[in-house]
Amino acid sequence: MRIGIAAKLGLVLALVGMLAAGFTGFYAYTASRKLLIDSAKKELLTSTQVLGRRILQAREEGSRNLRTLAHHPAALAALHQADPGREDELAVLFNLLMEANPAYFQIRLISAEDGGLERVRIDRDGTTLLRVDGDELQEKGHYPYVFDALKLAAGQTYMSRIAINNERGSHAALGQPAVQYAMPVMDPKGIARGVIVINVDLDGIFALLAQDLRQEFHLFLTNRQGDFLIHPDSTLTFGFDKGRRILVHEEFPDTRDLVDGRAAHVVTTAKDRRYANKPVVAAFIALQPQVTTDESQVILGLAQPLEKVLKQADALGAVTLQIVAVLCLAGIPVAAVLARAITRPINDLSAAVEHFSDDGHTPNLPLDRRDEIGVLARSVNLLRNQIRQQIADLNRNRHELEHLARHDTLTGLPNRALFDDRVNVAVSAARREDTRLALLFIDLDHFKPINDQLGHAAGDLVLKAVADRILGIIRESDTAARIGGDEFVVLLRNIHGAEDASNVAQKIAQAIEQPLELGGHGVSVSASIGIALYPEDGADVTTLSKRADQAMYRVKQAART
Amino acid sequence: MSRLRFCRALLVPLLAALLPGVVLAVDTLRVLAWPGYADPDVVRVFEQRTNKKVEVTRIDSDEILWQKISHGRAEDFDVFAVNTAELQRYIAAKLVVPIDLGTIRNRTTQLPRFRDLAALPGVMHDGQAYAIPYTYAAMGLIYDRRQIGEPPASIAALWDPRYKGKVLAYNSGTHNFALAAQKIGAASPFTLAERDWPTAVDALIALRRNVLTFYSQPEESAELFVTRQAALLFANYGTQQLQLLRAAGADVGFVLPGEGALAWLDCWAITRGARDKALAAAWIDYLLEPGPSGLLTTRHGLANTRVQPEDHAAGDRLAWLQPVESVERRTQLWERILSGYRASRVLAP
Repeated sequence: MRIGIAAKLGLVLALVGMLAAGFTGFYAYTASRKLLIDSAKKELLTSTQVLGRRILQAREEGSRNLRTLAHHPAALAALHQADPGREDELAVLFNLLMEANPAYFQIRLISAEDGGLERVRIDRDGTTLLRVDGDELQEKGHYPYVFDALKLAAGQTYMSRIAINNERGSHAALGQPAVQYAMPVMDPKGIARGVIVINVDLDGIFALLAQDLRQEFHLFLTNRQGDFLIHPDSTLTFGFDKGRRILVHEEFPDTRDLVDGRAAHVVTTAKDRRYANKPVVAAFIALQPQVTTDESQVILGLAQPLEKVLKQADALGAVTLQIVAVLCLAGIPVAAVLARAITRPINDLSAAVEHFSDDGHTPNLPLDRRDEIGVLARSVNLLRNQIRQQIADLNRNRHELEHLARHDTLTGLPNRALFDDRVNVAVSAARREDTRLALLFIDLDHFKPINDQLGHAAGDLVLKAVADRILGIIRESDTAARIGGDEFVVLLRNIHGAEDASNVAQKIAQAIEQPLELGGHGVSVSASIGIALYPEDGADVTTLSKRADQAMYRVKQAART
Repeated sequence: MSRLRFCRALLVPLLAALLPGVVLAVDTLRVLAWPGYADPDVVRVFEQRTNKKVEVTRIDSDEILWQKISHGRAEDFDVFAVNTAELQRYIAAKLVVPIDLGTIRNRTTQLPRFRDLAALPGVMHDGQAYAIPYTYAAMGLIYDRRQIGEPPASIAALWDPRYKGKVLAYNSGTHNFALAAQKIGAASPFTLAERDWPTAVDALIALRRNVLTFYSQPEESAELFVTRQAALLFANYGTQQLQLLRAAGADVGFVLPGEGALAWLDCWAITRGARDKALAAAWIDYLLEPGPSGLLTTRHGLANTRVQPEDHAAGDRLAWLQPVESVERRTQLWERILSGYRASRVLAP
């Protein structure tokens, strides 16, 4: 199959369109994918910072609760001397606070005396709150939340290291990650008589603080050294308690800057080891508790599966792909129309050129276009007109030449060649139709003297007149020809017999004999006419001509004698 | 040439040709050791001297050591290092064999307390020696020279009310009951008589009331000692803690209590499956030489059995760690004491 310019152009236009759409789509996709990941990272960092602020707020709220309790007169009174009334009063307060704060494991009033004996203690035990008293109260003086908190000024908060609570008999808190907040209870002289301690459930408080985070977010918390305290895989937490440290910067190498204090936040992507199959983006921030503590810094982190982030990008990719596909499909007809618009005038022009010689239907040329095609069309049109003119001239000349070749220039009668053709045709027809025809051979008598005496011009006029008179006699279907100087022949078709031919010959002879006026001279000529008949005298033109000629001579002889 | 020697001369190459694997394998000594016990340069000298190859596998916990030896019924190693308390279960499981003391000539250069194997607990069984002492560490008392003028002579210093709130003790049931046993004058720190338990518990409650706190890690102890101005520290990790404190700028002394410092003692033992027991014995003998033993101290800060350390006096008593009567009971009671239980509740069922 021949591929036309329209197809090629259409193909190229369509390809260019598809490529442009494809590249645009691809770059749009990659750029927006990067933007999405960046914005997910930013969002993650913001979420982490919001969570961090909430943690600090929760800590401040804890401090406010501690202050309320530490400054309550019943606290100092209960420490001053064993007074069941004041202790009960305090226990009610503790109870209320425990009810309001589901993440509190315990609230205790601990004395500075008696080895740090607990005085009032409420424990959470499953879903109930339990008041611990009598000899179940324990001595806690050797725990930092007592001996370090006792050294604080009034209203200052102590925060313990975050650790697994191994204190036996602590009910719900036993074996759980916990952190202790404590505040001294001062007597009027400013001497710490005891401490109020709130034992906070680490997982519980984080579950509360992080409850409105997205489901797919994973929460991480580490201590200053990077040991995991909260991790999606709880077996990796508090590794230092089990003799095997598990560190955040081993899982997320970029967080080393946080652990070493070189950065306040780190946003990273983890793709190795445990994240090899499920890469995550993660944001970590360093949090300073801003209270007296050995846990001078914790690192808080949120991670989100990269897959979730990329799901949005994939949706975007699908839309982009659809747009690209639609553009490509739309581009094909547009390319076809465009290609046709350009090639149709060219096709018209080429059709016009092809049909230059035809006078029939020719396509309309876009002559009135003002562009290059219009110029081309006008040039082609001019060329076409010129060529047509020349062809017409050639045809006319050819007709004239043909006429000249087959006619006598003087009389306009067919010449011998044409006459012979006609006789042949007529003979064939007569043979086929079983009709008859006659050939008359006419020779003018005494013509030479006219020529000699009156000049050739006069002779010519005579010959013309003779021709006109012969034509005046014969039927249209008959043919008269001049075959020599003063010799004419006539073909009579469809005659019935020799009499018909004789009658016509008679009439011709009489017509020729009519006098002619030539420049004041009366001229008269006569003619000798020989007749040959088909089929009687011959069956072909040569024989018939010969017989007619012979007959004419016999007539001429007879006339002389 | 006697007929016997002739036969042997014939037989040995024959066997060597028939059993090449066995003969080649005997060219390798398979050693299981703790970090620092068999450094590559130490091993190289032994290899050159004996023209044998030594394969050293390092372990860093008692549990892994037990797994490696017991798993292959002691067939996978020839010689290994183990502390005297742990050694007991290897003897009971018949994973180790007696050592021919005549082949360990360098024993004569060891300190007297290590030469007398019968005085070391758990080394001799049925009159046969199962282990040769190699290195040890004693749990002494570290004191702040500025707060305590005279080095404490007794473990009772931990209970001294003058240092109330300035004592750092170690968080371990096994060791603390041993200390309590020494404090109350029990017959053995490692086996408490039934009547001794309540007294020991009371002693530990008294200790709890006297200490600032109980630590777990050496670094933690050093930090607490310095930041809380402690006066006295029970050094469970021995001289390692002394080094940490001195590095932190503390003016501290180290003393072994008169009751006998709790001490662990690592010995070399030969496995039941040792392929060339003479070669294993030669390895042990080599390590007792001044070169390898000296490196233990100079390179790794571990005490060797040839030279008396500066911090110890020749007459210092050492209470070599032994298996205790019940780890579970000590641990359970200790957890209660640590949690602040009062005496009446500690011993409750």
